[in-house]
Amino acid sequence: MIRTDAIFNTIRMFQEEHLDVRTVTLGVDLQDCSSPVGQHLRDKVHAKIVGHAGGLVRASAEIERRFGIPIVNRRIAVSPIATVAAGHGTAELVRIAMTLDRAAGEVGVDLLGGYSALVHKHSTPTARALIDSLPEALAGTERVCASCNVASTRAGINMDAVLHLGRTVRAIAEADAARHGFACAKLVVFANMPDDNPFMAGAVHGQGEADAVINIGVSGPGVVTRALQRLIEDAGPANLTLADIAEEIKITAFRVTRVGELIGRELAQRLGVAFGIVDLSLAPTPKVGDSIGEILQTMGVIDVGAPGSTAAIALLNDAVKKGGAFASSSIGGLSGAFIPVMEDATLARAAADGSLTLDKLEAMTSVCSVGLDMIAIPGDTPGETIAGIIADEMAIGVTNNKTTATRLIPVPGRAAGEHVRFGGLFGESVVLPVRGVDGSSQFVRFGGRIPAPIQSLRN
Amino acid sequence: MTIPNPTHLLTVLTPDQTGIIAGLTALLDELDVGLLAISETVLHDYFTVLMSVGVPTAVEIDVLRDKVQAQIGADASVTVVAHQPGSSVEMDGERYVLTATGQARPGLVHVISSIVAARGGNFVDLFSNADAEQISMVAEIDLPADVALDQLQIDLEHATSHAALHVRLQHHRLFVATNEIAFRRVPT
Repeated sequence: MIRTDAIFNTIRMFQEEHLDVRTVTLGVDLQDCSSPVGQHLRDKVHAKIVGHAGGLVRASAEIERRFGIPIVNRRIAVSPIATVAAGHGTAELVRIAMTLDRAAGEVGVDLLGGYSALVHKHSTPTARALIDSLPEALAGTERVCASCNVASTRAGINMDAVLHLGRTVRAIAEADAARHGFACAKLVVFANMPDDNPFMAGAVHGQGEADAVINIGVSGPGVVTRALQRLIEDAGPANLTLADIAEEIKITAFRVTRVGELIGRELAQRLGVAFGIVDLSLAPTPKVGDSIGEILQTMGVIDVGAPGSTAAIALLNDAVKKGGAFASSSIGGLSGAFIPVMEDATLARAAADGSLTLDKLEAMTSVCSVGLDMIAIPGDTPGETIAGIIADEMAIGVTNNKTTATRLIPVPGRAAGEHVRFGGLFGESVVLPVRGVDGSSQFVRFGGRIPAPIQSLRN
Repeated sequence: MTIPNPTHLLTVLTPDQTGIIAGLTALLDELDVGLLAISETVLHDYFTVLMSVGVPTAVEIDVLRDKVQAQIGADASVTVVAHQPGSSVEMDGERYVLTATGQARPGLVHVISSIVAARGGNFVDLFSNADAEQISMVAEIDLPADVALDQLQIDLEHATSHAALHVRLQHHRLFVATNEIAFRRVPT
């Protein structure tokens, strides 16, 4: 028999604290779909995705009913398309993006990731063509998400790719100006990209994975916030230390991770595919009570971005990882705390108040997952400056041997201090000012590769 | 040492006091009665226990009952019934946890249990507590494999909607997974 209080503790996480399975992501290997004939390649890609993912929505709905757990998103991640479509040019890559979009729509998923290129050391002609295709591919599709790995601790930073992407981010925004540059929200630029990340927009199905695999992304900022609030109310702040707070987060993370593992294994079994990983990432939504900013405020950082914010997010990120690692032997993906400004109402408010700046966000990303995420910047920010922001974030990841990323939206026609709203899970925010525009253009124009740091020489 | 088979079920209901279990088990030891399983709770200041016991043939049941009564006190209600082998409910189904919280109204437990029973569900554990305003109910129930979960959930919500009751039906593995240290112990 299960203890009554344990049952009510679990129930409370779903009823009052917004715990959900944020995404079940089916990874599908498309490497066997390669063909020098574009039409053949697209037909095989379509058939394989529909074949594997055809039952994903129905199976996950059945599991939702069985366990009474909300599964918010069903998604697909595919092999990096620049590899699958090696030898093809920009026009064909755009057609492949349309095929991916159609297949995703047919199986009922809201996003498909993997329109991606791995260019952390050098880039192939197809990888460069894929980056060139991004404005048309992302603005012209609903569900396709893209990512590029431009840096790794082992390879350094490919500054040619960084500059290429800095200019491309600007071009994507302009190609999607009618939606205020929303297509940029579907592109992640990575350092040390994980092979099994289930969260969008950066999900890919990496090398060394099974033909098809279920990866799970669980969230739960609200659960952590409420757990900390209860702890503080019950014990009184004078009787607590930050070690007590870390311990409470760890325990909460354990329970949240277990929900993910249970759902992942059940779904994988039903679909007859491998179970991959659970990614416990505190991924906020614009809803009140589902915010990383609220966790920091509960921890005593009332003005998010104030001194102490970086230490607080470091504590949170570490405790989440420790709780998750104890709960499951299949922890993977990003597993940490996201700070996507537009998607977190409290962070967005702090940005509007001026307490949370681009510089402070960058500092915070050095200790948390993942990077400068969902940040609106002025639409006239030059590509070279965007490349500089990307390069800084990549340097943090490469040097600290961790994943970092950027998801920047230069909002066409909007200046710093103006407001942009995408709605839904993508949220809204003030446009953040970028200091030192054009102040580092020559640095990024040098191009080439920033060598791998000394800590990469481990053998 | 051999573990005896269960032969009887012994129940005791009495105002709560300290030392009841200690006294009872001392008596059972003295009579060489094997204690196989025990479930005890205190409900609104009343102690209640259900024991599955193996009674040696040399011990007469009436004597056992009288000795327990004398041990606990004249106010206690003591029963001893014979265990019927094979009397468990066999079901090809799965275990769910039913929780209900909300405004307390007369008859809610009856409404819920009747709907579950009508679908062939069997309550294996039940806790319910109501005060002047709120009711909290937790039950573990076995449901037949072919039960329509969606419809059952809808029927439970509909039947209790007048009380603004929040009724949820969730597979019991969820609760094991979120509370058990080792995931491998979560039943498949």
